[in-house]
Amino acid sequence: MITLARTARAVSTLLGLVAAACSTSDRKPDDAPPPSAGPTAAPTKPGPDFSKLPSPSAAKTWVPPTVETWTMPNGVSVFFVPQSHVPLVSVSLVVPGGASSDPPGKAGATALMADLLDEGAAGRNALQLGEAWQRLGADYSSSVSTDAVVLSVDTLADTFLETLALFADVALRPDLSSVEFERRKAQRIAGALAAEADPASTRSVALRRVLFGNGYGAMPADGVRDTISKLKIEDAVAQYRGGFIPQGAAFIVVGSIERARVETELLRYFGEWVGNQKVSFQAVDSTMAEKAVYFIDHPGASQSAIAVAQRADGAQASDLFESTVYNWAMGGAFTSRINLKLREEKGFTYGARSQFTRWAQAGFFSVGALVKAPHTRESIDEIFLDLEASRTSRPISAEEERSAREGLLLGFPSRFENMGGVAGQVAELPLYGRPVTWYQDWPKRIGAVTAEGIAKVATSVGTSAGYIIVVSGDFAAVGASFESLGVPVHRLDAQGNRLPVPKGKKK
Amino acid sequence: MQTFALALSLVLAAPTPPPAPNLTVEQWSLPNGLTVLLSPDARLPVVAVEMRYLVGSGHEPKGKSGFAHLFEHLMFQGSEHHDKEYFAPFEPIGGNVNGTTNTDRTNYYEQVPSQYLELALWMEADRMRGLLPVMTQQKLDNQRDVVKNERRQRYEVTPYGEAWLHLAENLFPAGHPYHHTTIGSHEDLTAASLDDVKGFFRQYYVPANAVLTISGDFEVAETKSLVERYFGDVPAGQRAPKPTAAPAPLEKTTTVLKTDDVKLPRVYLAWPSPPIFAEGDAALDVFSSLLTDGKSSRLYQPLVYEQKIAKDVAAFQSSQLLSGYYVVMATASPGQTREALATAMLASLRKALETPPTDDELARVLSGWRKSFYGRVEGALSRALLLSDYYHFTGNPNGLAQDLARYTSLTPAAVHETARKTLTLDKYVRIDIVPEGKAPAGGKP
Repeated sequence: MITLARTARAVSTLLGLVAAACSTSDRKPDDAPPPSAGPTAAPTKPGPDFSKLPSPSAAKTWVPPTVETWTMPNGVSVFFVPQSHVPLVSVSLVVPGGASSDPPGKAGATALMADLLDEGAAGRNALQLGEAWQRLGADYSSSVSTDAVVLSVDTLADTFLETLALFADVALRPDLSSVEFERRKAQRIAGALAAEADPASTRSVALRRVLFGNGYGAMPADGVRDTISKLKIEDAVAQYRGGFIPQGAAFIVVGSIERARVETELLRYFGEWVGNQKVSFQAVDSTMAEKAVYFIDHPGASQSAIAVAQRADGAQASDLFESTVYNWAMGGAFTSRINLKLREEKGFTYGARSQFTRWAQAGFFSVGALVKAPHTRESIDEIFLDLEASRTSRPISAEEERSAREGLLLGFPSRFENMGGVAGQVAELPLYGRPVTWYQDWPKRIGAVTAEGIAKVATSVGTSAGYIIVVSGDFAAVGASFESLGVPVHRLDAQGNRLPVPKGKKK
Repeated sequence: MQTFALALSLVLAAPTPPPAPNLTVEQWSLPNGLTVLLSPDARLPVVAVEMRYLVGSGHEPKGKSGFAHLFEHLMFQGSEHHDKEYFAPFEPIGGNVNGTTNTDRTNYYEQVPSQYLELALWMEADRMRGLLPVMTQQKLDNQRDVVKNERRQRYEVTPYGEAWLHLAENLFPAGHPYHHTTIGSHEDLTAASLDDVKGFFRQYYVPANAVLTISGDFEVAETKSLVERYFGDVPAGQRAPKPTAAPAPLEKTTTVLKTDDVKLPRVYLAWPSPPIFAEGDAALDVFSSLLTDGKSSRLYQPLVYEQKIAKDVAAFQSSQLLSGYYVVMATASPGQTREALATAMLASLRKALETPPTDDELARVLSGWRKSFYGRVEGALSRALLLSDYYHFTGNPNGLAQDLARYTSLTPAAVHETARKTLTLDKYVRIDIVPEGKAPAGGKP
């Protein structure tokens, strides 16, 4: 069904909290209607009071589910959350390293390796594996990010054992065949090529490459067409043998199953898993990007995909909570300053958002939107005005701070509705070395955020000085508007490579 | 029966077959015709409210395309006693708030901490009662711009996005409610006036044409009292008639060729199909899985895995009130032409339609469909939307078991027969989207 949804509220970082107690209800308990109130019941109740918004009733105490954890003899840690509301079990295997272990020039090697795992293993070919998952009602998937390879399977509680056995085949006994490698490689090249026509996608690729130069985090985990094209089966095998190892790995198990069974069966199927690390990891490139406009041409595009970005600390940032509150007020919420300005006041866009992206070793702060082409330059100017104002003339107000904090806290329980959401959040614990009580402690941490702390965030990101500007749009139509900005304009191709300056043209 | 809407934990001990999810709901209505569906479940301290108005883009007359959706945006621009951003009171309580429009209905929802249920009802009531006193030309102009940007973002700048516009135009004849898409045309959006806004609101945004669904952590008796208080005295209005559409079977094959800023050709094959929840609707869902779910599926294996002529292939039944439509779509691998791709698609489809699914094939895909029902009942909002869909499209909100049975009761012969009847290989709509210019696919960008 084709459905048009308004831009969903987006929150960039993981949030959490006990539902904070709010003021008690002004509703009287004797307001209850007769039990059989039906079409014939006379409306004897008081009418609605629209003079003010209603007060909340008494809040219930709620704490996030307890995470149980233990370590297998081979060093693999296990994080387990029992959940019984549906008879499903979700199992994820998080292997740290991810795309940050891709050798130089071989971006996408780890991602292609992860693709290959279910393309033949332990005597079953790719087609047979696919059918085996289906018979079990199991959904298997793999994903590779900057910091980890994550293999996941969701299945019926009834088929947990068979599913885990198959999961172990795929993870520990993959064929890694060169025939399947070439097939998946060709598919990935085609996928990368197709994405080069999408301004939102070329913007994101360029942003990372410009911000992080030749180091950690620079390349998308999938690689780009140039790097994928150069990959060989040996690269995928090397990533598997040297990187897909138990040290540092973690299982996340969520669902309708007993702990004892999880312990026994993980030991049975993964107890013999061994391996030694033979891959090396990318370091953060210390060279900072030149402040400039980086332009990817999409002739005829009616909108430009824009972003302004600067580096920020990674997942260990000391201002994690302060920046979360700042971001909510600036561009994380629908009613944030930047969205209200660009969408609700100016009508330039369907939605504008900011976010802190926090990887293990580095991160960045960015503000982005797809804007109507003629308003490309003006939109960027408006974003910088808002950022600057947050540091100078218009710091985050007490009301904005309260609103952001309460919103983060009160919205927390909803993040634990689905097993997938629980598993995704728990997976961050081993990945970023966080304590198992992370989510229980979250309210206290967010509660400790001060106006001074938020002002410090504004000092670091509330200035146009350190930003790069990325524009994916129609260069002929909007390129000239950047000449007066006072920074260089560099052209990039759709893979984020710098294009040579055309002869006879000023830079 | 039990306090919780989900009784799943009671049946966990059962070994096989897996238990069906249970979703209880009470249907109730106010004297003014507001239909109310209540489904309590206190697992988490959250509650979801959906207000659904039974009007969608299918109700739009010629020249007003996109209006129902534009109107949806205006519902977030303030009402009589809260003339500011609708989101403003919800974001400080972590609410998940939005609205969506499709061919058949417009809905608005709030998922909030359960202690804020009354706030959600207050806000929905105020805009149902008092949108017009504070409506202005400026609000209309601003949201018209926003919606045009939404159109650009979803249909113009996104590669292949315009295919959906061509599909609607060619699958359904002029005058059919689904001939135009929900997003509408720039021209019609420009023409929308304040008078249109007023007329539309008075006709469609009335209790008799609305369904209020509440799911999650709440007390039924107390909530009924609140609903009565906030909505009981709103003038009833009338239930909008369903738009009418004569059956419009395809008479011939139509091929449309369009260029777009894409790198690889894509071919769409499409047919009108049974409406949502009608005979054949579930069979086509299952047929989609047989065609493209898993590597050994009947289209993926030949087109993507073996011949490698396609980079990807997908098939789906789009289920709607008056008529569904069925789409098979594939993107060419670099170096492949649209003609070669289309020929291969049709050949594989012909073969797929020749023989019924084996028992094993059907059992495999049904296990996935069976499991998917658990995912649909995990979240409070997801449950609310499911229940109001059941009410809206079948008249019975207690539809979960029946819905699941539509799938589990299918036989290979039934799936085969429906597929053959719907996917006619001598009559279909074909949309080809190809790269602009003559640069060879895979060449320099």
